[in-house]
Amino acid sequence: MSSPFDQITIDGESNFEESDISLLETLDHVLNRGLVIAGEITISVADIDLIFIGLNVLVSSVEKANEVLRERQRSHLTSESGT
Amino acid sequence: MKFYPYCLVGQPVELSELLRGVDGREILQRAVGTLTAVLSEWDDKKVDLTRENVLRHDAVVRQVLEEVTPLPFRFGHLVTPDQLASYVDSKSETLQSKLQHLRNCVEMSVKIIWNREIDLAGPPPEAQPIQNAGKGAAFLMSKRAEIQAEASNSTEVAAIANWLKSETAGLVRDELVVLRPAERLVVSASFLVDRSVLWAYKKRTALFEKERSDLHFLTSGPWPPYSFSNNDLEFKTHLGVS
Amino acid sequence: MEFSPENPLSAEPEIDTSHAQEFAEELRRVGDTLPSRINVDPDSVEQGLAKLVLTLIEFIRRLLEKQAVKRMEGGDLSPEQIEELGLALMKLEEKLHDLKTQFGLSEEDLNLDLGPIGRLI
Repeated sequence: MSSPFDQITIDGESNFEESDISLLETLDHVLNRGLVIAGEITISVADIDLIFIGLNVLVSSVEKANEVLRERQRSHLTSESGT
Repeated sequence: MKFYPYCLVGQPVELSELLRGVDGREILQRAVGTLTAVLSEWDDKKVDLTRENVLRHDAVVRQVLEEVTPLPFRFGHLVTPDQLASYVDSKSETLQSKLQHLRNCVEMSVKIIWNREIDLAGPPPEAQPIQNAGKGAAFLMSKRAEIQAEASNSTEVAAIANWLKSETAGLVRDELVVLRPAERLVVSASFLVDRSVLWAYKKRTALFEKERSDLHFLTSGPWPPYSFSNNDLEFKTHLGVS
Repeated sequence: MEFSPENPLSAEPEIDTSHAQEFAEELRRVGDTLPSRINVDPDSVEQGLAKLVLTLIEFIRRLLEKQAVKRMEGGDLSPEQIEELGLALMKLEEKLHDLKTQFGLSEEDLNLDLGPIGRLI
């Protein structure tokens, strides 16, 4: 599966040329590779963009997650008793 | 009918009649809300990812950069006039303040390769072998050693980044520094530099190779401020999944 | 920045390095990570989705390894638990390797920088 880099640079050029670094550096600036803004993926079918996925993922240890869930439960109970 | 946008500016700029963009198309400027968009008109055709088109995209934004610092789009966006208008409308204040932030600046880039010896030979001999250590425990121990090596590596890469930041302090209005401790290209930095101090910035960076013989440098620029614009991300977030 | 409007290809950015080939190699490597666009077309439907799914699994697998090591260091696991945990993760690594091969993907294809998340765990 080819990346945009491959598509552009492996154009029948088998020998390394000085101009390669210029193109690669340009691509690095002009193409949006998504890595810097991690967690952003576009899925396209037959080259038609269909779905954009912005991942906002909570990643934590189990202890931390349990902590968060306990807090949530606590504040839920408090607000319930108020009504 | 669609638009292929190159960048946004506060006011229209003077561009050569002969300038051509992606796919060899004409360059137009259209008022969009309080701003002006530099664009080409487009149809249902796909945008071909080719060397020529990428260079043309950059060349158009550079032409604008000659006159004034724009808010660039990265390569390959197609939008309807309505989408563009809605984007600019809803983000009007943010875009104005971004343009203000970028005023009179260019983007300069520094990339650093650090050739440290990566120990791929395997985990170091364990000081206290676990009695009757099974395969599972041994696996975790070797992962632990890998992680420790990674951690000390990360610390050193952070130190390199801090060195770079202190070297350029005072000459840059903004910076975006990306660290990749697991790679050889450990630091990729973009700096927002006012044109008036560009000469001083270049003098400073020219000394890097000499000051840090343990590192390899690639400096480039001036670029349009792609890294400080992020029109793309905000665009996608705005259009998102409906 | 001089260039002629008639010939935009002469508008080359200024690039300065004494190690052009080295940087070219590294830029290729780094540029080839998780693509921001995953194209699923008739010829490569499976591979496109496989790459997405396997990259995410690989991401989680690495986090699991880090967390397991942390628990091991924390001292609250018995030797038996450590052994079981290690074996399970080892199998997971092997299985993922097999899946990679099955779909014709390389190590680099699934390389996703853990970034700041990697340091938080």
